[in-house]
Amino acid sequence: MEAAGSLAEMGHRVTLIEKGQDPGGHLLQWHALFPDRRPAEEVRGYLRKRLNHENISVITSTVVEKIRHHGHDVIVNLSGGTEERADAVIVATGFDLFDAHRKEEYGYGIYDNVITAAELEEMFNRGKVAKADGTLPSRVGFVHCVGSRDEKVSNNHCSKVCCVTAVKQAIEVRKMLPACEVFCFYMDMRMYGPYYEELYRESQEVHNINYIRGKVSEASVNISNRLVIKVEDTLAGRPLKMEVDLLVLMVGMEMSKQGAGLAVASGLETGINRFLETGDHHYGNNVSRMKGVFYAGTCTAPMNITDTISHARAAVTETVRYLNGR
Amino acid sequence: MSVRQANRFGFGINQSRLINYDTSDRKVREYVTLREPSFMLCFACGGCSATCTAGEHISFNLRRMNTLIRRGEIDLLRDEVKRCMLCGKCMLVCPRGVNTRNVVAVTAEAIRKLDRNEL
Amino acid sequence: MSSEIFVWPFNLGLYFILIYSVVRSTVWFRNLSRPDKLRLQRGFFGIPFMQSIKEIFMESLLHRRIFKKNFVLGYMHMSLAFGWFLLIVFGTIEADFFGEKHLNPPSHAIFFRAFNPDHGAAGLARGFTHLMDFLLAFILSGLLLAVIKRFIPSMMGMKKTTKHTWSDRIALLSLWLIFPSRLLAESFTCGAYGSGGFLTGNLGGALASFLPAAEIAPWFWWLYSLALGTFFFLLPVTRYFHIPIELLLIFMRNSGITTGDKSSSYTEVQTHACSSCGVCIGVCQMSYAAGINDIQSAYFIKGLRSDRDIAAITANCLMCGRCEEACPVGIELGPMRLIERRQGERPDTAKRFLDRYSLTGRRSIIEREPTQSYGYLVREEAESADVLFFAGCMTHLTPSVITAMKKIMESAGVRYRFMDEQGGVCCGRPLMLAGRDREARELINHNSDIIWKSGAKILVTSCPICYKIFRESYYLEARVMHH
Repeated sequence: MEAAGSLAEMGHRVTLIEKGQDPGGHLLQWHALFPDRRPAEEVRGYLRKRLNHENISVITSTVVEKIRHHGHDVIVNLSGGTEERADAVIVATGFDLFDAHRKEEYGYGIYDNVITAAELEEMFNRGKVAKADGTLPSRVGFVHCVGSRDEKVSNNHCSKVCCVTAVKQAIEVRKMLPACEVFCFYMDMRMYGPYYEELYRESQEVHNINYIRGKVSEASVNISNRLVIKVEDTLAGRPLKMEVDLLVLMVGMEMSKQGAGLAVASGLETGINRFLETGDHHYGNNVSRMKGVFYAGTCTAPMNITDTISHARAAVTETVRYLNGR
Repeated sequence: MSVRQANRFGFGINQSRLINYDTSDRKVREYVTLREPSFMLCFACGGCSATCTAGEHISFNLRRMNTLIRRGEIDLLRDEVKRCMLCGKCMLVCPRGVNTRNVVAVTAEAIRKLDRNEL
Repeated sequence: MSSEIFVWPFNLGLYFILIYSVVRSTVWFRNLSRPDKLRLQRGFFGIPFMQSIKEIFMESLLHRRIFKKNFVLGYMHMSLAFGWFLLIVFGTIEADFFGEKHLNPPSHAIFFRAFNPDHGAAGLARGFTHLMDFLLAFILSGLLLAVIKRFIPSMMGMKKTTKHTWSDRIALLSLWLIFPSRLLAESFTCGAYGSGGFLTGNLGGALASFLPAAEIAPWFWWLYSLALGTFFFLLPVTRYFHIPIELLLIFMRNSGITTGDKSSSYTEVQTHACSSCGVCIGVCQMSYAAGINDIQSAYFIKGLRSDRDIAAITANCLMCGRCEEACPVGIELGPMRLIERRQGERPDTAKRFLDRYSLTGRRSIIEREPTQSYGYLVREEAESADVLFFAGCMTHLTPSVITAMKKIMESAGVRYRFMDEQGGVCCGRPLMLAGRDREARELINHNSDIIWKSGAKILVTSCPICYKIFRESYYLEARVMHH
C-alpha cells in the first residue's frame, strides 16, 4: 500500500492486486502496535489514505499466479485467467504465520486454551481475554520461538518481532486483567528496535511480568483440566513445571503460501529460509534477478511494520530508477 | 590468587569459585567435539533438560552438563553423566539438532578415558 | 625338474591355504562352547549334513539367493564359483584319466596343458578338451561381468560396490589375472603344438601365426602360477577367505549354532565368511535415504577383521535388519553389531599386516563396568488397576495420542491408570540397543515392579519401541497390547 501510494504521487499508474477482500495483510488483525502500543487502526488509516489516489486501482480477491518478463514489459497472470501487462512489478506478498499444529507437543488444537499470538490479538480486538469456557484466566503463559529458530520444523531463522510482540501482549493482558499473573518463557529477549528494550523494562517494572529463561518442551493437562507446562528454568538450573490457564504460542513468520507458489511458477529465487532471495543483502535488498521485478516487505524476510514501510519506499526508489533508466 | 599462593600466606585451602577459562581442562571438550560435532551447536535453551526423563527423578541436567564441559568443570560431571537413561527424548526437542544422546554417551566415555589418563 | 619350477608358486600357495584353513577351522572348533561342539558334531554326521551339502551346492556354487536379487549378478557369481569348481573337478578327472599315473598332485590337473601340450587330438580326449575350453569360457564371461560391475555397478542392480583396501585390491587383481593368463598360456601352448579345443585351439592358432608361441607360452604359465599363488597367500586376509569359510559356516548354522549374546568362535567364523559382496550397502536405509555409505555391515565386518577402531561404525546403525535379510551368506548381522556395542570401547590396535594371519582372533569377554546407574530411582507406590497405559518417553511429545487413549479407555469403562503420566521411567530398549543390557535391566526391574504391584492384566503401549521390549525382555504376567 505504501509503495503504491508513493508511486502514485510521483505520477505513475498503479494496480494493486490483493488476494483477500481488503488490502492490509496481517495488519488488519492487530489491535495495538509496539513499542508504544498505539492503536493499529491509526496505521491502517494512514495506509488507506495513501491508497486513495486517482492513479491507483485495486483488484481484490485475486491471487497473482505467475509473473514473467517479456520484452519491455512484465506479464502478470492472475487467478481467474486474466493477464495484466506492466512496466514493472513490485512483489509484496507478505508472510504467513507458522501453523502451530505442527508443534504438536504444545497441544495446539488438542487442548483447549492453547492459542496463538494472533488469536490473542483477536481477543484484544473484541475487548475480552477469556478461556475457552468463557471464564477469566488467572495465569497466562507466553511461549517464545514457536516455529522459529527450530530445526525440527525446518525454520532455522529468527522471526525477529515475536519477542517484542510477546512483551507488548503481556502488558496488554496485565492491563486488561490486573489480577492475572503473566509469564514469558523465552530463549532470548530480542528487543532490537527503538524503545523495545525500554518496553521490556517497563513490563518488568510497572506491569510485574515474570520472565523465565527456558524453552518449553511440552504441555499437558492435569486432572482439573488445567494446562501444565514443562520447562527448564535455565537460570536456576532445574526443570520446572507450572499450571497455566491460557498458553499463548508466539508463532513465527514464514514465507506466504501464495508467495511461494508465485516464486516457483515464475522462477524467482528463494533462500534456504524459503523467503525471496534479494539481489544483494546490503545494497540490493529490493531487487530480484528478473528485470522489472522488485520486492517489498516481509516476502523477503521477517520485519516489523516500520521497516516494512521503509522497505517499500526503497522498493519504489529502485523501481523508479529502473523505469527512468529504460 | 592461586591456591598455592594462598597457602604461602597461611590462609585456607578453599579453591576460588571463579572459573578460570585459561587453566580449564580442554580435553573432554575437545574429545566430545571431535566425536560428536553437533555438540558445538548448543545454545543452552534448556529444552532438553525440560523434557528429560531422568530429570524428573534426579538432578540430571543436560544443558548444564554441556555448559560445564565447555568450561572444563569436569569434576561435577562424573556422577551426573551416569544418570542418563539414553531414551533419546531430548533429541526430539532440540531446536538446533544437536545429537544430545550421543553427547552424553561420548562424555561418559571421555570422562572414563580421562580418569585412565588416555585422553 | 626345471620345467616344473613354475608350478611351485601355485603349489606353495595351495598347500598354505589348505593347511591354514584346516588349522584355523580346528582352532575355531576347539574354541566353541561345549553345547555348540556337540551340535556341530551332530550336524556333521546327521541329517543336517545333507542339508548343508545341498546349501553348499545351491548357495556357494550356484548362488541362488543372488540370482533372486538380480539375474546378471547371480550369473556373474555363479560362473566364477561354479565354473571354477567344475574346472577343477573335470580337470582332475582329465589328469587322472589321461595321465600316466592315476593319482596326481593337483598341479598336474591345473597345468595339464603345459605337461601334455599335444593332448586331445581325437575321441574322448578331444571331447574333454572342448569341455575344458567351454568351462574356461564360462568363467571368463563371468569375469567380464565382474570387471564391468566394478565400474558400473548399477548394471547389475547394485547401487554401490564395497570400497577396497589395498590387500583387497592386490587379491582382486591376482584373481582377475588367473583365468586370462590360463587362457593365454593354454592358447600359446596349443598354438605351438597345433592342439587345443574350440577356444584355445583357435586363439592359439591365431596367435602363433605372428608370434613365437613356444617361447612366449612359459611366461604365461609362470603368470598363471604366480596369480594363483598370490591369490592363495592373500586369501586368509581378504574377502576371498569366504570361499573356504562359508562352507564351515553353513555346517555350523545347519547344526543349530546361533550367534547369541556374546562373541564366540561362531561370530569369528561369520566375520570371515563375509564376502564383501556389498548387497547390504544397497539395501541399507542410511545409504539410499541419507547418502551415507561408510557404515554398512560390510564395512563393520571389515573393521572387525582388521581390528580397527570401529566405534563410530558400530554406533551408526538403525538396527532395522534389512541388511541381515538381504545377506546372501546368512550372517546374523544384527546380533553381531549388538555384541560389538556391548563390548564398549575397544583399545585402538593398529594391526600389522602379518598379524592378520594370526590364529587367535579377537577373543573379547564382555565384562565392562556399567556406564550408567539408576540407583536414584525410587520404588513408587502403585495403585491397583486392571489396565495400565504406558505412553513412553516419545508419546509425551505427541499429546494427541494420549488424549485419544484416555478417551478410549474412559469410554470403555475399564479401570485404567496412566502409568507414566508424571513422566515415568524409560522402557529401557534404547539402552539395550546401545548394548547396555545390564543397565537396562535396572529400568526393566523398576517398571516391572510397578506393573506387578498394580495387578494389571493388560499393559497398553503407544510406542513400538516400548512394545517390543515389553514383549520380549520384560517377564510380565500381564498381556502386552499395542494401541
